[in-house]
Amino acid sequence: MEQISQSKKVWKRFRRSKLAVFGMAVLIFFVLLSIFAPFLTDYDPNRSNLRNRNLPPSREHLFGTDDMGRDVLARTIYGGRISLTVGLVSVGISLGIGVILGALAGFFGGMVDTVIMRIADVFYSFPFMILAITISAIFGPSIYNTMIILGILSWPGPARLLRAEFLKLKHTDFSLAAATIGAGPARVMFRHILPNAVSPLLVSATLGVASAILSEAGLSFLGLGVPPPAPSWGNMLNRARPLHILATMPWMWLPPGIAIFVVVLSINFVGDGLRDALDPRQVMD
Amino acid sequence: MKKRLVIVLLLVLSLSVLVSAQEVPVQGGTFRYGTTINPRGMFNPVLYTESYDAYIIDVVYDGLIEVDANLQPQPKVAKSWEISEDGMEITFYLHEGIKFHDGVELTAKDVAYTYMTILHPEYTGVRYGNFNMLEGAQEYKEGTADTVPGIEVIDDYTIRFKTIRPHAPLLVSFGYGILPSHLLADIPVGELETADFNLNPIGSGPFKFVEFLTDQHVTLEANEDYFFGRPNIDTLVFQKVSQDTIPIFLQQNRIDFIEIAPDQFLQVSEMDHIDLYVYEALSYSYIAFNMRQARFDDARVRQAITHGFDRELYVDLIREGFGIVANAPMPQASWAYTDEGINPYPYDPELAAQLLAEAGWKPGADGILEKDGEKLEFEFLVPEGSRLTEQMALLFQQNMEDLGIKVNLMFMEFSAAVDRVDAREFDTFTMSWSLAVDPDPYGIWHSTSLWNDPGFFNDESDRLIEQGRLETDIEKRKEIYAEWQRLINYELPTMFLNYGVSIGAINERVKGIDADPGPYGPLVGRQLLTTIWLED
Repeated sequence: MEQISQSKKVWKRFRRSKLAVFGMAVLIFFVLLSIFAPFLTDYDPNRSNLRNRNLPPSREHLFGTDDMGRDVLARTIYGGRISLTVGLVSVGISLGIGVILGALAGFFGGMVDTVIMRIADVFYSFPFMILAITISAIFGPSIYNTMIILGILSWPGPARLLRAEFLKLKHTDFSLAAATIGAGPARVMFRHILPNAVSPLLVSATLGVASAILSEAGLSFLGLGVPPPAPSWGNMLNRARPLHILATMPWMWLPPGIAIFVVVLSINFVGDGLRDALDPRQVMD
Repeated sequence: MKKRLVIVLLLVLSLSVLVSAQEVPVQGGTFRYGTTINPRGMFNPVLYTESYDAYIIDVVYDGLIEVDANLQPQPKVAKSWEISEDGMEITFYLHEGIKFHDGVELTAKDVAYTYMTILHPEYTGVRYGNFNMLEGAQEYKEGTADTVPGIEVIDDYTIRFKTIRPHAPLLVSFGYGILPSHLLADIPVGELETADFNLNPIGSGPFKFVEFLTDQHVTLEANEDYFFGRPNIDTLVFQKVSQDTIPIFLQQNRIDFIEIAPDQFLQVSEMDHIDLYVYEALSYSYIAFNMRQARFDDARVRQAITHGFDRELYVDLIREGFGIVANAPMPQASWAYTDEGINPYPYDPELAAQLLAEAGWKPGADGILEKDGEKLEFEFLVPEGSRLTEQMALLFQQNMEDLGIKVNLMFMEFSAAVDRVDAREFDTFTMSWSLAVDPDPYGIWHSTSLWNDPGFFNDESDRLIEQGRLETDIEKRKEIYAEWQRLINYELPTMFLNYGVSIGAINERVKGIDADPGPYGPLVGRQLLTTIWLED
């Protein structure tokens, strides 16, 4: 019962922020688009038809066609699938690593903490894009490599966050009590402390998805992310790079550009809304 | 000495008469030659393999002869030559007083060093095949002799080459830039490949090398003491430009010349200060199959893939008509071109499917063709830098998918792709050949040639190639090459995509350009870059 009423309270507070609700609605819209992509368009996003290349928007092609004669609307919708998947999976990876290492560092402290946090510092101090480009150049561009690269390079964020929470929570009465009645360290860490540290993680993960989508777009724009012919918003922008396309065929780059902009903005709204809603210091009404 | 002065004066007079009819050349200025791909930095005329290095080599070095815009050999370092009755002996008479950029005189010794290097047992380059007919070359290459009787320095300004059999392309083979032996003779030939010299080349050509910065530029300056007259421009810069930004660079006068992509033609043609030249180049593009792999060893598979790829569509739409569908490795710009008995391999997916079925490839459960449990799936290596090539690759991938062949695209930086090809670590790849004046296919297609990337080892082909070299009657030679083209056209060790049609864009401030460019374009390396001048 306690859990339910807590989430109800959070939801109520979340709803108070109009921007957050708007962001949530937009996100749900894009997620639905991605899930139901095959039902929304008859065009194969990878199928080129050179005889129809560079067509402006029309009844047959609502968003026009690209330089290979592929339907831009279909590619934008399917591109959302890939961009959102990359965002979610890479955050999943970074959370997985970050939670374990952050929890260990915060809980045990001492040498363990020092070693893990210095490694995190090393990861932090590398310029992200350069490292990502290097790794991608070595292992070759692919969807999976992109997810793994983004995930592995962004774990120090959640790890630091969780470490701080653990440092704070490990001396609280409930964790001492759990330890006193004989719970092992793993049980104390993951059954007792972790659930209480979820809210900052959730906020950070939400914002992480936004930055992962942007990073994927950046890598794909440089030709090092999702390889052709599969569409992602980033590599759609990449294909629209030539000057004559930028200048005279805006339908090739506006849809993916706007999609990235709107989705990232929405996720940030949701993240902000969540932060406010989950903040325990917020006064309840 | 006096005599030469008179000749030079006469030359200057006659030149000035010609020129004053139009405009007087102005000295000075920087000419920026745009290129979309980096040179490798192998600025050595006997070791380089990439055209982007050749741009620099062409202006840093001079050869015994040079080839003009009409593809005819003309005197250069050699002021004249004599060929014996039987065509098996050629004597070059060198100009006296030609100096390398470091001031040392160029003599017959340097010429001998240059060609001896190519024949050396430890030589790592690919040009031995061009000179293996010189007397004693084979023994020297195999290490059983220390000298090559076929290369004879008679005095400082005379050198004689002798062959053991007639060799049709003999004269035009002597265009390689002459290396300074005083700087290189001490370096073991086997280590020449890694010599610092290759990045700091010194020749006797119209321009001196200054610097090479990867992804930026190669800078050269006019050779003030150039034997054949100082170039009009002061500085020559080969500027690296990304293909997407070419129109901006042209618009803002940041480059003076570049070859543009067909889809940029319209935009650039609207720029008032840019002149466009369209010319059929001595080049062709191709997709090579690695015939060392069993699946590509079957001619029917190679023919099926060729039938299954819509090359007309590629040339008409992606290249916007700038190109000619190719079916053999002899461009229309070459005198040896033929279409007699040449199968045009029209786009025909049904015939392709039939050929694949005959070769034993049957659709598997996932629709991909299989034979003996192996899927017909391969990697396609595509060098980056050209959007058209990328589009071609996407079309190829799709056409192959329709046939039940899975193609995995692998985009790679050009030099990295060349390394993979050299190591034979490829299934298929696409590149282009820029060809020499003589149609002799030995260097690329003979089974002993290091440039035979597909691994095409065919006795009949070797026989025809060797016969073509022996035949000095041009009509008979043409017939031999026609026969050879029919063989290659049937075997298809590579799928021929298109013969090159290039579009050169030149800023109108550049003067002295030949209005009717030959297959090498309006700026044939050595000659025009020395005679053009820049208007303020």
